[in-house]
Amino acid sequence: MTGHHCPAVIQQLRTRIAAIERMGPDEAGAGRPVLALGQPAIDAALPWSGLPLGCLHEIVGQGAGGFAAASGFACALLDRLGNSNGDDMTAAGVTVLWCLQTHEVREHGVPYAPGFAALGLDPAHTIVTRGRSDVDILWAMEEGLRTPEVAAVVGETGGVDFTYSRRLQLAAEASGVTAFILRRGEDMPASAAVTRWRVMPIPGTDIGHTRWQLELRRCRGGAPNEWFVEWNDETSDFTVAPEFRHGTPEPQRAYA
Amino acid sequence: MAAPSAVAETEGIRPSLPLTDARAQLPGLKAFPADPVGDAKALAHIAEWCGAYTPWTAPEAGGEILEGGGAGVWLDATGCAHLFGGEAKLTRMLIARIQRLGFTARVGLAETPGAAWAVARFGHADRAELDGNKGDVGRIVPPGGVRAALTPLSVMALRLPVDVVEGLYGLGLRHVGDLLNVPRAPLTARFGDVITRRLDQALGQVFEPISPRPETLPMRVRVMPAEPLGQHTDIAVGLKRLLRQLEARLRRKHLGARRLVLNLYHVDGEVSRASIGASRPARDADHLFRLFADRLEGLDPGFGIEVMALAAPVTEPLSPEQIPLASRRSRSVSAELGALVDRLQNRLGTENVMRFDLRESHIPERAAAPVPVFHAGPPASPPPSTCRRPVRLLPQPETIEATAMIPDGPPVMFRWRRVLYRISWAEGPERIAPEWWLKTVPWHRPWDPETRDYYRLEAAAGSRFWVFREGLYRTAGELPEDPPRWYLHGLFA
Repeated sequence: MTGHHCPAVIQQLRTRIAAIERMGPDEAGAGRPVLALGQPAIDAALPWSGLPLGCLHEIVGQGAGGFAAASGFACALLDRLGNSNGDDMTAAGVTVLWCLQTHEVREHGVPYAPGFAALGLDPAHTIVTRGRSDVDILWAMEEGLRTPEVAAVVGETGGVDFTYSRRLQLAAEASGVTAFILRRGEDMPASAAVTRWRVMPIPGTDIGHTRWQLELRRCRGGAPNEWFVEWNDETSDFTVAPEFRHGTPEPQRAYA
Repeated sequence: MAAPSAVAETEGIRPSLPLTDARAQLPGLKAFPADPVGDAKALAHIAEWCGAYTPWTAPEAGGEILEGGGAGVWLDATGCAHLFGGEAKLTRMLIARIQRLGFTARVGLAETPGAAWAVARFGHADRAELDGNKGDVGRIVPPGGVRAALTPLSVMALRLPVDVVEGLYGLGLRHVGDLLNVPRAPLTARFGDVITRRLDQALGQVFEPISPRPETLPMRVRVMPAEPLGQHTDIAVGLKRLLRQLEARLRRKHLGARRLVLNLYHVDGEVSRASIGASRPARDADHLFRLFADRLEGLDPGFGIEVMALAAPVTEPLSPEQIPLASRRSRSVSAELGALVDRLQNRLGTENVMRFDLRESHIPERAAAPVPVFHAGPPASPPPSTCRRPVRLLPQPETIEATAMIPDGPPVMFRWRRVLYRISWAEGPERIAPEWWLKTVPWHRPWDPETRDYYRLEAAAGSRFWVFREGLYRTAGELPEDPPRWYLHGLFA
């Protein structure tokens, strides 16, 4: 026992762990294309200066309103993804695969094409599938992730265990297709997702604004963070609303 | 008496004989009730099983009781015999296989269905075709030998009704040969045209089509392994071979398959089946094999499978841009995307894989219509409304208890799913009236086709809702005086 912690050794070990996880900030920043959220405050907080593509991301929405907000956030990200791919013929396709669970439709409603279109997601290029169980959803997601023609895969699910999230992450890495899990509910088990977001709708200063409290709950190689943002569907941009940061109290939760 | 056994027949028991008479003739006779439905089913089953030998098979339509045994199975063996090493080998194989299933088979093979029917049932007298010691090969009439083969047979061999046969016997016309030599006009005058028609059919002077079972298809490939297959892996190998053959045939015709049916003919006479569908015409063997992968697990090889046949009942022209690599970068749907949709549809069901088309309608339920992914309908028109629409729509509007400050205004609070929401912002109303120019009821049942006033609401907690009040507001005194009903229909992001 030498008893000395050599900083170089620790750094070396960190690099090795990152290599094992295949998602260290160094490695991801090097090769993987990135989807910038277009808002410097948020992009700077992410170790990749944006969301890395070809990875699994989780978006959590609680309750009916929260889940609608989470769907909206996913739409917004896909809108930005579509715009960034726009004229680039070599980029991945434009198709989005959106997987629903049949039994949850009563509870959370179906994705509504006119609303999606308003948020910037083209219904003509969105394939919607319905599955009976979480198993079906995850299978459909994996199939989508193995098809490079697909730009992104969205799966609405109650829960994914770590093993399956790892499967999805590896499939996404292999093909470069980006995966989003829209998760209902509170319990958040460990997952191989690169980032985990929690989206809550917050009141705006006027109706007609889409405002969210964006919580970065987990981020591999980064620290948790929180922003209050407004989505502008005309310009496909997020704006951080600083007045909410200090002025407004924590938004009330729905009365139970 | 429907079907006497072979032994009973030698004792002179004929079909159509009353049971009491038969009992008097042969005291030890055992009688079982006839089961025409069961017989027809068994016959249809055998006909299907014979599909392993030729695609054109049909059970003989039952009905009238004829001398010479019950109904049989037609096989159109034209162009098939050489696959089995000649007609004699084909018939020998058929007889042996059907015997193994527990039936006695009499096989006749001739140029016309009528002649085949005749020699199968009445050709016992000239068993010249018994092929050494290799077993029964049935009665095969050589080409051009129909007239000679029929001449010595009884007139019963012409598929004539019992009373006609008795009439002919009364006239002393006992053999087909006798009929060939008498003038036709008196026969027709006395018995109708049945005799001459059957005679012409047997001799091939009138064409008699066999109406095949519906599944017979031109795009069909089959494989008969040397040994019965008992393993899933063997079936998979056989299927791959079939798919490659089919791919080659489809390519020659510039076709793609929309549906494929795999029939497995078991040693014990069972037929099991698996089918897949493709969202767009496809012929790539690897892709189609992946679609079958799930289905194969559900198939039980049982005692073994002796013939596998793959058919494409639905084919469509396969346009050139679906040929791989041609459209790798074009905006049109690529082959890979088609393959993905096929896999999704085959596991989740066709109705569960869709795309939404925006429709030119103000009715929320109608503004988005589910269509098949590769549905090539009219181009989607942009939504007519610039009003905001929710990101999620409930399949059925849900009742809420809403409180409004003024009767005609938006709610200030409402209770939905036992949670109370206080409203801080409201926008509306957006009045949506039923599309009176359409006859169908636009709203979902059980709602009446009434006007709806939609409001966008934002709760103090932040959630944004799309709610509506049903019907026009009525002042007191007007009927009906029900309080307005409120529903929640969607959620904004």
